[in-house]
Amino acid sequence: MLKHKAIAFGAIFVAAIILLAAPVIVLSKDTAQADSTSSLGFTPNHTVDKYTDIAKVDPDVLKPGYIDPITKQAREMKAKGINDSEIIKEFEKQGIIYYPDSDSWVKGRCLTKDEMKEKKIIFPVYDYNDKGMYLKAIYYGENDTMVNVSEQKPSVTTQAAITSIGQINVWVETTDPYKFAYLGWGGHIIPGSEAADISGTEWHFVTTHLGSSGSCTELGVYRSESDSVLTVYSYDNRVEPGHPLYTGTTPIHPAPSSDNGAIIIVTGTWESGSIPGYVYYLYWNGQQFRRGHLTSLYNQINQANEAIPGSDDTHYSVDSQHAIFYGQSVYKTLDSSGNYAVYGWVNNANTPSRVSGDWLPMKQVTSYGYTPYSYVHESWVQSQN
Amino acid sequence: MHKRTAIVTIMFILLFVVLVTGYYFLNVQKAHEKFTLGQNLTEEQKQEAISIALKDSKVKSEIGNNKYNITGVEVLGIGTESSNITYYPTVMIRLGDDPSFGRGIFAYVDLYNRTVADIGNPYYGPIPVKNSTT
Repeated sequence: MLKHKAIAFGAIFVAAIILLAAPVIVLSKDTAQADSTSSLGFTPNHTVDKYTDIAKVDPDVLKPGYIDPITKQAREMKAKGINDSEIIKEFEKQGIIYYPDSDSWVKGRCLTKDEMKEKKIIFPVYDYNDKGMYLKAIYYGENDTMVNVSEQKPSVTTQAAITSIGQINVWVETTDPYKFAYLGWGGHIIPGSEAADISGTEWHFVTTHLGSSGSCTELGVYRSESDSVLTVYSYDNRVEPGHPLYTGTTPIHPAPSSDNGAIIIVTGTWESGSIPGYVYYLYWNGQQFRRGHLTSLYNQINQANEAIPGSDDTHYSVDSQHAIFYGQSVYKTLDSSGNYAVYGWVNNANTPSRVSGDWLPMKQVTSYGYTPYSYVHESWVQSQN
Repeated sequence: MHKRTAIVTIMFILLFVVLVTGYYFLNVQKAHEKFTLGQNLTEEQKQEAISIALKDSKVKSEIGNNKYNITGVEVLGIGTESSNITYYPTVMIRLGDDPSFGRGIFAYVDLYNRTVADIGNPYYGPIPVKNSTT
């Protein structure tokens, strides 16, 4: 009897060992896949550092009562009784788009309708139904209706509607518990080639977003399929709904390998114009070139490489030079007056972060602890063959 | 009699062990099925991922009262740097009243544990209009 009991217990023991060992055996085979191939071969340009720190670029901008020279000029013209359309024309001569209703501005110009058509800048109007999003109409320009589409239904590929859009992107962003905690960002941008042509990528953006729900601004460099050069642009979703380049295209054309310093900073000054919010400014290589408003001092930061294909939705142009973000600082909001603390963006307790994986054919390599306290995010579109 | 009881007991135990171990192995392997970048998902997996994502409290919180649209379900990755990225079936959700440009939610779904492992917030550019007259 004892012998039989021993056999039974032995069997139970063996079974227990098997049960305990199974997950270990399986888990040991399951190591995270990572592409650790780094091609970081650039030399940091520390002469650009002076353009990534607001304290060096424009120390007065965060002081209460600060008014930039362009806004000051506009307000003086208004005080003299000059009407809005004349003020707009005056600023157009200076290469500035002025928005009188919101008292904001951007250095650059509106694209002409011909340029919009050449770049295929259209204003697709979408709506939703129970099957998902569908295309309702297409416009060129603000009121120039070109095509009316009679409620094309989305292509339903699964039980839940999935509308393919073709955009691929890789990014780094702030995440919980401090996803929305920042009033500013400063860092280096090497735009890379941002390949785009008629047989592949239609639009290519290397950009930094800062915003919260419903209110966002971005600053970056783009190339469309019709462009031979890169162009610095900015975008405010409440000022230019529909497309970032309707306004805000600048005459700044950085070389693909150029190392540029950029800043997005929100001030503690609240203005209640037609687009109410806290005043923010954008800077490119030390030059202030946009004034706008964001609804919050507590924002998320996201840096991305985005490629949008042409009509075939499957082909992307291959980059010859990689885009690189590095040397980032973030301005963490301390109170509702716009006071802040500066941190290097290193994915630690102060700046918890996430990086997306590759989205083929777009690749990325991201590492932290560089120069001496920020990350390096390198990205590019590789060949699909 | 005692011997027969012991043999039957052992057989039951072995059967139990085989069944439990087999079930465990199958599910543990399923749990740690390594999704790889570019891997095609079945329609069942896509629907399961969508179902899990839309029931997740954080995803629901991020959607809030916004209109949203699911733009795809693909195997994509997320991590803290390149060396530790994990790939999951990812439900891509576009948010906002202005769907031509806006913020997104990427819900990285752990199919085995039926949870959302992580959330990303990419931004969407303008949507290319297919078959337009341009």
